[in-house]
Amino acid sequence: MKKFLLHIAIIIGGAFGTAMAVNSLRPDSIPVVRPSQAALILKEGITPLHLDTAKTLHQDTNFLFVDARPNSVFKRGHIPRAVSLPEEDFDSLYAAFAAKVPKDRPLVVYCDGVECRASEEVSRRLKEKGYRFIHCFFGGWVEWRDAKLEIER
Amino acid sequence: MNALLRHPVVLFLLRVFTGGIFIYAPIDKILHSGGFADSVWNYHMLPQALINIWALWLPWVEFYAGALILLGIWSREATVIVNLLYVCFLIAISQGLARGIDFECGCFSQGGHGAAASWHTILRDLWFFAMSLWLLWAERPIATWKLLFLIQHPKSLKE
Repeated sequence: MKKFLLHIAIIIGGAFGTAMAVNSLRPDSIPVVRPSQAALILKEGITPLHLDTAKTLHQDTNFLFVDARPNSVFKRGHIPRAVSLPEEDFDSLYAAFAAKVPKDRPLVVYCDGVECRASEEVSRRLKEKGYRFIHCFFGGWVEWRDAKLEIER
Repeated sequence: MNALLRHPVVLFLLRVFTGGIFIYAPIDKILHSGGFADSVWNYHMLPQALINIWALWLPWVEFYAGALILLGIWSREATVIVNLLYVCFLIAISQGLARGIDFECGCFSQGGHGAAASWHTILRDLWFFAMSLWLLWAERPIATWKLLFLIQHPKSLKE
């Protein structure tokens, strides 16, 4: 039994050693400790926001809130004055969006909450299209609604 | 019946099946560890600090276990690891589906290009799990090349 467990430990330990060695040698290695999502997105020039900041920015009508959830969900309720730009329809809806929203307008992109990635994806794509001031509100709709803030249907 | 289910030919086929899966599955994960780390993140199960370590380490555990099963070296130990991994995979996929998270399985492919996880994924993994449980039961400490010798020379079989 002792030998059996020792063999298992060797397999697991050997795999760990190989993983670390290979990762350190390859040119496209990844950090052993993953940076937070906020740090990842900040690196790409997108500013992560928490609820308090999102609330403050919402009072400034110059900031446009962009809802990255599917349009059917958007219609059931969204942050007031937000526009819908669903991740899955981005390609078909982008032209209409770009016609109305200038590239220097500050944007706050959100989706359901921390467990969705649509806001990150839409943020990245808007950044690629040339939008300069993009903020990603990670808490999204769930945090906004749970804080009992004003909503629009 | 037991002898038939543990026959050397059956054991050989089970080793090829389970070992083959565990050698093939991690290749893309090793080649695209960043994408696989994204897939792991999508499960929303591990703390941020452990995601990359898990994404780097898991494919090599799979690979070593698969290779050892295929070779018939420490194959019982490797099969125990594989069975434990199946339990982890089934728990991870089930919790993701139960919570309604839209995520990729990441089972064979790197993040961004893999198929979305579904209840079909669970059924497939249950089938694979059943095969590896059978392997665990049928396993014996004999290298695969010796097993092939026994298969080719049935007279030497004592069973």
